[in-house]
Amino acid sequence: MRKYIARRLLESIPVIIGITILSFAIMQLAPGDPLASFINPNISMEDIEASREAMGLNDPWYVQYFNWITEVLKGNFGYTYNGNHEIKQLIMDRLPNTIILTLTSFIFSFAVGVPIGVASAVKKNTAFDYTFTIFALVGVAVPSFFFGLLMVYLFALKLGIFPSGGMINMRAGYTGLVYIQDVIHHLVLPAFVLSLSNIATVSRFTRSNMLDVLKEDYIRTARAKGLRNKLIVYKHALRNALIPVITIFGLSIPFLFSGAYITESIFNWPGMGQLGIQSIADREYGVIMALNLITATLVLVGNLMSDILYALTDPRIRG
Amino acid sequence: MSVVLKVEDLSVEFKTERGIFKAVENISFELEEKKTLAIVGESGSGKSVTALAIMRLLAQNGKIPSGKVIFKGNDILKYSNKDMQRKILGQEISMIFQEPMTSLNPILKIKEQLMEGLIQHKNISKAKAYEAALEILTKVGIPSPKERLEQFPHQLSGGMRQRVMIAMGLICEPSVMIADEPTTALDVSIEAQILKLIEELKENMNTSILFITHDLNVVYDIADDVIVMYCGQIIEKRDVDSIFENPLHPYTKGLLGAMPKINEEVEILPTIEGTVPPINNRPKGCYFNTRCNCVMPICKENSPKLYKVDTGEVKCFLYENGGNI
Repeated sequence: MRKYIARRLLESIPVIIGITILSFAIMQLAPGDPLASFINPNISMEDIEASREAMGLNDPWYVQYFNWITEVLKGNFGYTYNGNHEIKQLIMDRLPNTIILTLTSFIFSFAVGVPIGVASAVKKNTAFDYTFTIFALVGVAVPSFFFGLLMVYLFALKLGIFPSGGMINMRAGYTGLVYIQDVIHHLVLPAFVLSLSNIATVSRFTRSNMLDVLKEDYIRTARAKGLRNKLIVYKHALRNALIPVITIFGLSIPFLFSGAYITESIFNWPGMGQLGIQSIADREYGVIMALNLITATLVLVGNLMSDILYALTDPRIRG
Repeated sequence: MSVVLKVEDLSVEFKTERGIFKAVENISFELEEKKTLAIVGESGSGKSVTALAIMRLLAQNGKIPSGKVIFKGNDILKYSNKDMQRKILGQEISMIFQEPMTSLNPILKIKEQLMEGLIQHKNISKAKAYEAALEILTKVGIPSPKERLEQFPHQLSGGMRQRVMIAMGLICEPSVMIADEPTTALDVSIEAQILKLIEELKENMNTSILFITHDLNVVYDIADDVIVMYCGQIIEKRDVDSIFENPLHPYTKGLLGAMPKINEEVEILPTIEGTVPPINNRPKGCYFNTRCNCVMPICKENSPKLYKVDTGEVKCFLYENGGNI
């Protein structure tokens, strides 16, 4: 097992390097460069050309990539063209907030989605099942920016139960436990909006897998043994039905992470979403690449986690 | 001999989109203590459905419109599902299935699957259950049982898995074990071992066995009494020696005639002409009249009763007067 994890970790290094090369090249193909925003009538084209040369932007893309990766390996992510902010600091200020939001949504997706799926399968074709089928359809179909605004309107403006945006109550200056409570209070709506489509996917997936597993011969064996229904459903059926759900488990980490960009914009959540979108508009290559690197790592970590979980739940894979 | 399990007038029907179909029609039989009763029939004759109906494990669209299943004096068809789970299934009546490859849960250790029923039904400690699991695995002839207990089903061969299934069926020391084609998926040499094992265990553990099979050789080896089913009905019910010596129903005769014999050389193996009529299109009168070589006009009009003969019962007009035509 340990050997397997080590091998997988080693394998992911070339994959990450490959991803960074590709995304760097694609980014360079897009028209425009960081200096586009500096152009104004008082600056001559020669000056712009001179600073472009000074910034190394006239070098071929592979030279630029090489310069970037050597610095990154030293732990230096560089500075923004605009404002000369340290990129590492810029990201570290926002990353934890995004992680809080993503992780909560992640836990939410499975903690809510799996039980709904199990109950729908056990109570197949009942009012309960139909209700959550409709819910899942809506959850997948309605885009998060619309659903988010709906939630803000309903719960923040009309009912006033939750704040409409932000992460803390700026004026209150809370500390300690009250501060955490305040963050959680702000977290509920965005986390729910972000996890909605994931809850829908997980619950449908769990339901259909449960229905398949409940038809298996070994479930009939368990019934013939006279086991309690709870034992049959949770011990015999659910554990087998969850094996395919693990695939979603790994995939949903990057999915939620990128979904957070939109949700953060709706709820003014001080995460990486706005930073990312602004950086793409400004061609802040350093920031974009850093974000790419984080996302790529998350995809690989997600996949690795899935594979480890597979091996843990299914003895046939463990060998 | 006392009767452990008595089935009276049992019918099973399935509701489908194309209508309601009777899979089993008004069958009655008795299973005596420490005996093996074999139910023989082709695919679709209703033998497995009968077993599942007794266990109340029919698919959701399966209904039991009439009949009684009397186990030790109580009609267990009247029991609630909870009572079946608590009092009958696994501990009084257990069942083993045809497919040992898929009948064990792939992600649970053998010991887990052996112990759980015992822990739930007999309310004993894990340590005691472990002892019992080890003992039963030894009894069913599994070498190095201690290591096997820690393994998963995929690490065992088909024969070993069926031994585990049998161990699982017997761990609560039930009065009745229903074996639904337990050797069909196994190769011949393993089949012989498993049959011998079932025989031995029946003797040692005071268990009666309801053995479902389509294989007449197996019946001859293992059964005390035989029921032959055709299209959901019992057509002949007799003890094993008389049925093999002198089959009465034309269908039984056909079945036995179609058995290859080791000391006879034949060019073409005799067969029963035609096919089993489908469940939604059964003929009027006797269900066998489309294939029977002794068919009479009355067979196309009325369904025969089970007529008593010296050594049992036969559902055929030929034996209307006890076989004295």
